[in-house]
Amino acid sequence: MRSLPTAAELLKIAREGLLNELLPHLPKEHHYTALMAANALAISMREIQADDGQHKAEAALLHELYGSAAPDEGMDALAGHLAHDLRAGRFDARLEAVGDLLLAEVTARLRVSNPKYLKQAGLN
Amino acid sequence: MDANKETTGTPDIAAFAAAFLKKETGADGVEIHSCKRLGGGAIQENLALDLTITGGPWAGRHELVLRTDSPSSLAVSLGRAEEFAVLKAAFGAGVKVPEPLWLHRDAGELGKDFYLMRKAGGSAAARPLVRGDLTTDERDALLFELGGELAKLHTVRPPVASLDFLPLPDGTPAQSRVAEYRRLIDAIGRPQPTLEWALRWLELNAPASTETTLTHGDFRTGNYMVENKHLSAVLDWEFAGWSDPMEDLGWLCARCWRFGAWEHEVGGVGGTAALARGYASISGKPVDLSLLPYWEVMGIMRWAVIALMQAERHLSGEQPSLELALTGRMLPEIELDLIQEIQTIEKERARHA
Repeated sequence: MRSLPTAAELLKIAREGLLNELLPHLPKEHHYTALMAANALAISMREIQADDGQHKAEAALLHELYGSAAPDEGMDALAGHLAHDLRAGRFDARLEAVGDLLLAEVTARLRVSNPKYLKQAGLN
Repeated sequence: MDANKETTGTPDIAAFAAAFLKKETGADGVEIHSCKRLGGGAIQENLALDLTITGGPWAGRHELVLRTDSPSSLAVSLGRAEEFAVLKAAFGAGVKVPEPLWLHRDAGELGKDFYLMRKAGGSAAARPLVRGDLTTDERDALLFELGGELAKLHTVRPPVASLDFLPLPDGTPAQSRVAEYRRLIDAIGRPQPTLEWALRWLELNAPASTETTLTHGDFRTGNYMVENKHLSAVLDWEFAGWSDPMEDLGWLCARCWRFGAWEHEVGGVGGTAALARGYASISGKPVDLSLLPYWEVMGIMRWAVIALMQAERHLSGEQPSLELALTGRMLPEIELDLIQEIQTIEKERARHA
């Protein structure tokens, strides 16, 4: 049975308390830390609520580059291999296409870390 | 001597500096009126000292900045004694820097080196410059000055005896950087496919270097002081080295240092034309702006590696810090910058092919 409120809801209300109730009473020199803490809570909240976009982007990248040899574990398991192959020039002939695939994967991570940045970069 | 009046910095250092100055300047006494920690500098600690020297050739009131190492430092940055030598070389070349005055080489008395320089006027804060109400003409005037200062710095060429601790690039400066960043990524030990992709592109597209000069290594908005809308001093020399002069321009113009004002290519302040004019006014030859996009990518790459190293200080448990932790979560932004800027260059190239 799931405990309520969910972790995401707890993070959301904790963040609101921090920004709305605590921040106005903090001396100016502590605002930066408070805002950073609020940002950390927001990232955590988005990460908990994230869809499988990142998993899909990773799978597409690995499938395109390694075909059926791609492991199911996703990027973490193959990151070292991919990094090595890129450095060794194995994908030189299609560096641009690899860039597009990496862009999709980075975009998925940015949706969690900083969606506003995506917007500024003309992506969403 | 009263080192503790209005002291919010480190009284030990202030008292130590007063005794050091007394000896160094042959003074009868040194009175510290205030010692305040200055903001900025995740790596260095900067203390503003307001003091009076009595007796000797330096008698009078002085506003100085004492720069020392903070508890954590990056392996890629210079130590204070080396930075002092670079600052002297830059000052000698006519670059607007806070005049470097005295170096304390520690032999165990304090536990760290420091140096003292004149306090420059103005503010280094980036946001007011980027968001502030400078007119277009005022922005261009500031960029012209920035270009001129870079050109003066780039007149310093190896070999320079006082800078013999700075390694020369192994191969061209671009090749040397690619190798350096790969080493640093390997040392952290977490594979970075996007960074490897960009490094491979940087390797395949490395320009033949035309020259190697003294470079600042961290010349960006936020690291120069502006007073009454004009450049008053270039700060933060701990990343100086021998490199391609275009590397300094690329770093200044890289998207990651525009503070959100992407439309203003030069540090979020304005366009490249005024910068190039200012540079050429000193160097006597036009800046090849066609090389700039490559070096902007190299700049973003540099920031990616620095961000990784900063995040690692948190991840390794060496220095638990919310700010360093969040720097780790900035990596996707930097990766996006890398991919988009490389794609833009490739599109331009295809258009002209």
